[in-house]
Amino acid sequence: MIEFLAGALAVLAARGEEIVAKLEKVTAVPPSVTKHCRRVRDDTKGYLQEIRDRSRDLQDLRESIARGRLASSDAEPFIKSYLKDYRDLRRNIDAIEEFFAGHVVRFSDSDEFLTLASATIWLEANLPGDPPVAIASTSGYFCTLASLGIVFAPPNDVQKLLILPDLYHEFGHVLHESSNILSDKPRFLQALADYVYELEQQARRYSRPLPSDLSGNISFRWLEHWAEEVACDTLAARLVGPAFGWCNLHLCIRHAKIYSSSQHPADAARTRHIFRVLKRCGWAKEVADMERRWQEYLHLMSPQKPPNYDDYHPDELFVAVMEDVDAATSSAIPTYVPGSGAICDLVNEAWVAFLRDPLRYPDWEKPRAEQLWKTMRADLTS
Amino acid sequence: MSELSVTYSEYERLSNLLRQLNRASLAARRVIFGVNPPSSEEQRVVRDQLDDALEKLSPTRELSVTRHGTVTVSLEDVLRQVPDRQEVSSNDVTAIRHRITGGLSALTSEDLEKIDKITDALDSASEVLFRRIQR
Repeated sequence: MIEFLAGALAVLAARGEEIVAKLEKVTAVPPSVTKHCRRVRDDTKGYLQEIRDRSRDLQDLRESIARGRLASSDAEPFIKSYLKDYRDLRRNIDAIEEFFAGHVVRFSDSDEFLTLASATIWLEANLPGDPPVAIASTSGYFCTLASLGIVFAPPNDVQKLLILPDLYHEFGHVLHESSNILSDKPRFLQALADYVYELEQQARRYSRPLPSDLSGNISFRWLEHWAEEVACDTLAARLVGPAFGWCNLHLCIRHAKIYSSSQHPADAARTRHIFRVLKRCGWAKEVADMERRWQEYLHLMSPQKPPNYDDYHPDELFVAVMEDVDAATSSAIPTYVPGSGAICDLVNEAWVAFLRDPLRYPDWEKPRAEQLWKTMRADLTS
Repeated sequence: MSELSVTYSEYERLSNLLRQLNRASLAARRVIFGVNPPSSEEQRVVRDQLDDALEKLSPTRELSVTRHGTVTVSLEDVLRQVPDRQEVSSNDVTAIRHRITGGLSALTSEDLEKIDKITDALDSASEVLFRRIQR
């Protein structure tokens, strides 16, 4: 088995080297892609070093057995551990190939538009670190693999501008991974502890029957996923203003899951929160318009809240996350102000144009998206 | 964040934990069997990594925030991946953490077997998540 495993490691090393070679050959791409290629190439080289170390360890093990220093039976747990290590390395090499290298070596025009838009927005918003690579090749909606620095976006041949607000939300996930701007949430952690305590006290005081694992499940969801999602919504609403609210409504009507939640809080709770952030940023009139349409939608759909919906979605936790994001970003990251000439301006104009005349919107968008692309390309070469 | 993003993050977390525990178990065996034992300094680093990894395996979801405010993986969830999960309990994890304060050589063969059970579970769980990502 030792020889067989050593052979498998050699094959894996060859695949890793091939990925490194491919990433080194990636040219004619925006600078942010080149940066991520270098970073992922270095990660791959790190895995290659680990593969070499494991090969050497296997060689040592073989020698120890051959010289009688280690009984074959005692060697078995070693080999089993090396097998697990091999599988882990294999999965990580697969991940790099499948979710990063495979995409950047086939970089398309659509990818270029999204990646240039990401880089421009990142700079305009004064976000720290490197903007992600953005790839137009997902079968679902937006998806971020933050550790690889890559965002997958819906194919954007039409509606190039209307979906961009959600890119601001995805940036939150990238920041969550790469900086402490969104990951430090002292107010939220305190609010969660207070909330869970109060929930349990209330249940005792009023003999309210609660599922036995309710507070644990609420804590788990918020700590594991929801606080990050709410922070990303807060950041996006601050950065792009009303356009994010409209984009959220557009997304909500794509599926009928108003009160259901899983890795995200329910659409209804997120929408309420986005309205809250926008109002706080001074967009009361626009929010009133959005709220009117949202109420119309709720009236049409007549959804039913599932049991304990309100327990899972207390305002105080949303507010605490919002305050953490406010505190972490207020001095360094600007909120949206119309008339700056930035992409967020164009995106807000796009939503106004869409709301004014949805059917003729594509005619409005086409020349503006093309102009934006030209400008971004020119900025790249200047 | 899409389901794919969440699954990928979960996969990365399990993969990191697997690597930490598996390499610590290998280092401990190298010390115990005298197969190129790591230096004292390396052993100290590995011991700290092992303790850190075991700390992340909290017994239940209720205890899912460590002192650093990071979310931990539930031992119960991880062990759901192995059929004979009753062989490892949170008390075992606590006992191992207590024992390694005396260094890697203080680990018993039973301790190593229990760590192997956990890494078996993490290996299976990582594979399941990775296949789900690839779909």
